[in-house]
Amino acid sequence: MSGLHVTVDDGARDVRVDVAVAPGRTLAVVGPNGAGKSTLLSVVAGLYVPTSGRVVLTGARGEGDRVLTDTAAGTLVPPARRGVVLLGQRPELFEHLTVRANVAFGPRAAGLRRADARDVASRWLDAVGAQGLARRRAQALSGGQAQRVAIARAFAAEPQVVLLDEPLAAVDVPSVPHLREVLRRALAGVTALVVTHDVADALALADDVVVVDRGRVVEHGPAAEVLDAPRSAFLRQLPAATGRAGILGSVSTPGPDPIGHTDPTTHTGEREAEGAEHARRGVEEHAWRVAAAVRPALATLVAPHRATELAVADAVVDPRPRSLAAAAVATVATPGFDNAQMDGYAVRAADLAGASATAPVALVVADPIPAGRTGAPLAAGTAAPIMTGAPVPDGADAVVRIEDALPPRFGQDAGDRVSFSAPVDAGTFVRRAGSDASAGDVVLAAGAPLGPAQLGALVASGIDRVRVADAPRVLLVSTGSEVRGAGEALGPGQVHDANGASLAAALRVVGADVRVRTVADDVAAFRSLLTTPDDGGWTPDLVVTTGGVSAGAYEVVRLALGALADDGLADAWFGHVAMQPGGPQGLATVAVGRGEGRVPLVAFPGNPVSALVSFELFLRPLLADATGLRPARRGRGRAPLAEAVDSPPAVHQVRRGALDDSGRVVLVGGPGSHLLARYAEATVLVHVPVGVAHLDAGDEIEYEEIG
Amino acid sequence: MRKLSGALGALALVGTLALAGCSSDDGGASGQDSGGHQTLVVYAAASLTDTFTQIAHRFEADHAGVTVKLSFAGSSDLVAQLQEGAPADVFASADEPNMKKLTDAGLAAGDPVPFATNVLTIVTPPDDPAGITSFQDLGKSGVKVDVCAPQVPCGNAAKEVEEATGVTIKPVSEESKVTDVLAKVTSGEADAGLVYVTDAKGALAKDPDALKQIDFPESSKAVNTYPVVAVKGSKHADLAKEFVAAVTGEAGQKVLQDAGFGAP
Amino acid sequence: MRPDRTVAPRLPWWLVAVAVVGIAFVVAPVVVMATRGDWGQFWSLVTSDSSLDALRLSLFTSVVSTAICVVVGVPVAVVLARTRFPGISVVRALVLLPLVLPPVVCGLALLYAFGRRGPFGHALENAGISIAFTTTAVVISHVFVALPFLVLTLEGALKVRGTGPELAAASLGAGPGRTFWLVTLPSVAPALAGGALLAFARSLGEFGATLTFAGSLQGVTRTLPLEIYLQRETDPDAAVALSMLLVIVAVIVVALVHSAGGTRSFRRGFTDSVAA
Repeated sequence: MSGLHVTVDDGARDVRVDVAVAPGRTLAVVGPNGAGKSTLLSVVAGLYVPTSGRVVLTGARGEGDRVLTDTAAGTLVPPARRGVVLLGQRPELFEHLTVRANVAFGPRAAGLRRADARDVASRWLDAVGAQGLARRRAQALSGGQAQRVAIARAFAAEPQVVLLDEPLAAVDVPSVPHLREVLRRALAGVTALVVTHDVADALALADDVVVVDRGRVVEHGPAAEVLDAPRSAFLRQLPAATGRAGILGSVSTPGPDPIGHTDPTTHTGEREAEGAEHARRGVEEHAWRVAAAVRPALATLVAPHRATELAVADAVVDPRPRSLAAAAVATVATPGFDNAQMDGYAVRAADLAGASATAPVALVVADPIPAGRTGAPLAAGTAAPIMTGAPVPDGADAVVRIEDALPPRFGQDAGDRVSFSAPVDAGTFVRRAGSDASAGDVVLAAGAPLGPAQLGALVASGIDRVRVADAPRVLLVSTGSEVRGAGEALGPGQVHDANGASLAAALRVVGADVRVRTVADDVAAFRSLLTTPDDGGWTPDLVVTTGGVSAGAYEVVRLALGALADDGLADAWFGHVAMQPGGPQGLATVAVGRGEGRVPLVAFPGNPVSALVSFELFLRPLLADATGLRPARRGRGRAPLAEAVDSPPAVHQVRRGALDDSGRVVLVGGPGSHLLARYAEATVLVHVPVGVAHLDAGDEIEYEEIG
Repeated sequence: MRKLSGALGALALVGTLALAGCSSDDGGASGQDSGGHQTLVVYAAASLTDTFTQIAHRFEADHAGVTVKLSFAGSSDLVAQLQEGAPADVFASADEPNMKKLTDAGLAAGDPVPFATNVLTIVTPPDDPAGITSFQDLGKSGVKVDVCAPQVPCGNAAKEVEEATGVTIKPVSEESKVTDVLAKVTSGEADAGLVYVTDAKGALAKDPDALKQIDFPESSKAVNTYPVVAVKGSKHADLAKEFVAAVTGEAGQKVLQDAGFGAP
Repeated sequence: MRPDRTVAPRLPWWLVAVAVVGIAFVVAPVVVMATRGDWGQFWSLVTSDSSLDALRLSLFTSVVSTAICVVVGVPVAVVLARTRFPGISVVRALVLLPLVLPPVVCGLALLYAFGRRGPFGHALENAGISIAFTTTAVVISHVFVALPFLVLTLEGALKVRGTGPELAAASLGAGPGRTFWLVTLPSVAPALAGGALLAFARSLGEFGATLTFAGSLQGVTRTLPLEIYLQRETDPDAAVALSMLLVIVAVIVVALVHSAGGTRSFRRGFTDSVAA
């Protein structure tokens, strides 16, 4: 696998770029139309010769560089011999051939025998999930199927470099997520250049990103970094520079306007009534806007005034997940002394210099060296029995394994003889003091979670105290005049605060310091809860509310935030997110207590299932990153459905389910179930993405494990 | 818009139909023109093109108010057309069998009159690459001889001469038309060809260097006789008879013999 | 047979009317000619030695000519459709010239070029090869007049189809030859079949150029159209019978080749066996 280096300086098309792709990595080229992306691809593919330029496969097959195009030297390797495969928007299958013959085309062209080419084709058809189509005529395929086959065909040719030109642009919407996943897997370890205008593609497929605008590279870096913190005008103006690898992955930091003021529905109910459906926000967009608002607040948890010192011994038994606020530095070298790596005899290597099978050297057995204590120095001509981990005595510089000694067993008394039939190098089977870590070495970097291995490493390195990030303080506000706390007696028309209970528990599990408050449907009461200083100077890092966000007659959260916004004490957005359950959502920053700054406020709907699903999608990943909860992401996978599922194609539906014995996804409860009891039975959340209206039993679906 | 395209379409349709019908009243042959003008239609064998054109000019000069319309084609074509009811007043055939077809069909007014004879001659390219001097030379192997097919008069005549002389010609091609034989000889493709004297003379008249004419005595074994007759049902029966007389008369005979035809 | 329940787009009535006239214009003369034939004699007329010789010769020369047209015409069409060079439009016009030239002129042109005294014919004559009055001359004249039909059909198909599959093939590592045989050619196989059919039909009906260039001798150069022309001199009934024979042969050939299944199975059998 080679890398790729392209230099183009083309006066005719006004394109001047210089990009390099490391072997096995995928580079996304994004930018507006006419930016020069296609020119770049054409140059690499050998279909366009720039006025000046070079295309080099770097380090190809250990033969050094291979020049494909060099205008200065007049080099132009024809397309068929460049080892570069181009996969465009349109599949361009050979319609007169079968699917298998299409995929086998590249291997056959490379000289593979028919049977071998068919094997390669079969493997790739399996990889893209198109094995069932192998005998079909290419002309009988749907658009999505054809592009899948085209992907298999491109990769089956085993190119040095794969070029993808808007590979998903012409595919019908419901097929996109699956094809993107197919491509993502195929690209693993392949050197590739992906031209796309879709940031979601770039994030899913690429390791690195360059942004090209008007023929120049304007941004360049790892995909996550560039797309998390876009600098170029092009990236910032994208409506959804949003989706990091699907909605569940980590989410990104702000654009200039994280809350999303520009959306037509802000502040007040009247606006929403006008704005209605078209203002629906994508799940990914809301996720990154929430992240943009919450991340800065969580970043203060490691600040000097918040981080706390914690004894490692306490951390070991602390139930709460922790992460390091500062790097942990070893105070002693490990190991602290030279010790034996094997059971055997500590010897002086010099004593055994002349040993051989015909002329073994006999040494006098010294006193055994116990673990945990330093034995006497080893005299010349003696060998001391030693156990693994025991300190090697002064004078000794090697350990001979017991099985290499004669007799090959312990039990000799001091003063007996033991023979050795081979010489030994100094240092053999001796672990030197400080060979794991010297004093002053960084054992764990800042931000590392304190899991079992990390705590062990700290203890081994002699570190007894660490600075850990403070737990995020979360104020959880359940709204509703009818809501009563758990265990309280219920009056007529009143309900227990299941919302508060489930969310408080969820917050605690991820390591937050939670305070739960219940507020009646009373704007003044809600305001005072936020503005009045709480007990003991406890100021929240984050406010989470449930209820009071939809378009009902009296929605306390949005009314209160609207009023605060009017007073200049809050920025707020309320509206619909394209998801089910959990459509109505809110996001704000609000002044709390006497604090100078603003605190992020995330408003979830009042339905308990909606609130919990919203938490999973929008807050859990952020909090897990901050607290050191591991694993920070729910385990995810794909499995076939045990039953058919319908979903409104306009929304991202999150269903609850469980995996049956044969590994298929069984749904638990209906799409709009309000029953937490059913949620409690579920072990997975099932994601039906936007654009999918129906999936049959047996269709693969993405799930994440929650229980 | 809909109306307009409909109207245009109708127009196109009318145009097509008009085109289909346009030839229906054309070529009315024996038309009695206004002002006492008369048009005489003469069907003559293609080999008579030059001579009959001259004779017709003279006839028109002698008969004020008469126009002669000449139609030249292969005799068999002309007979076929006459059998289909083509309106002709006079028919001059290049051979007797075709004339017999006409009389058998009862389309002749009176008996046909022989008015000319024609015999074969040998033509070679001007340089005579095969060195032909006699009819016997045509039977030599390696000589590329082009003749008319036996189905057409000149080919039939060639066959007769062959049978009478016992010379067997193995032709490289048997053409349907004398002109094709001439073309193959003048282009040098064939070493020699058998054509009528009149055809050879006609070609030499246009280009004296086109070919070499080698007359041979055995040609008398196949004398082709040209008969002429007035066609039955002619509206100008008298005029038709006058035209026949003009052909067989002294002046007509002079024109024909100048062109190489023999006397009947 | 399943009734076709799809609704076809409507056509203006006058268009249909003119179309009916046009079809009748082509069909009517052939039908009328058929009624004029002496069908009682048909069998004996078409089985005479000369007729059978002419039919055999016509089929043989048309098949050979079509094969040569394919071998020569495919490269011509591909070059015209896929390359750019100055003067290409002039070259294209010249190649298509036989379409507009009267056949007799084509025959004359061939006579001057390949005749004994023409530049090529003379050279061949010196090499001991004589073309004049041979079946080869018939094939040459057929190829000359039929080639443009194949080139025109194929070039049009190539241009319509674009170069996408060829670029894909090259990108997958297939060299120009492999791409041509496995991608370009099979993808235009229907057009090739269509073009070959046109060329065959043109060969079968070819008359003027053959008469002028090759001559007319039974069993050697006298093809069916020449035989018809000759028969007409003496026996118009025989000419009509032979014409009907030509019509029947043409209809059978068209039906055989033009069936879509034929072209498709040709393409499949050809390419799948090579590609994988």
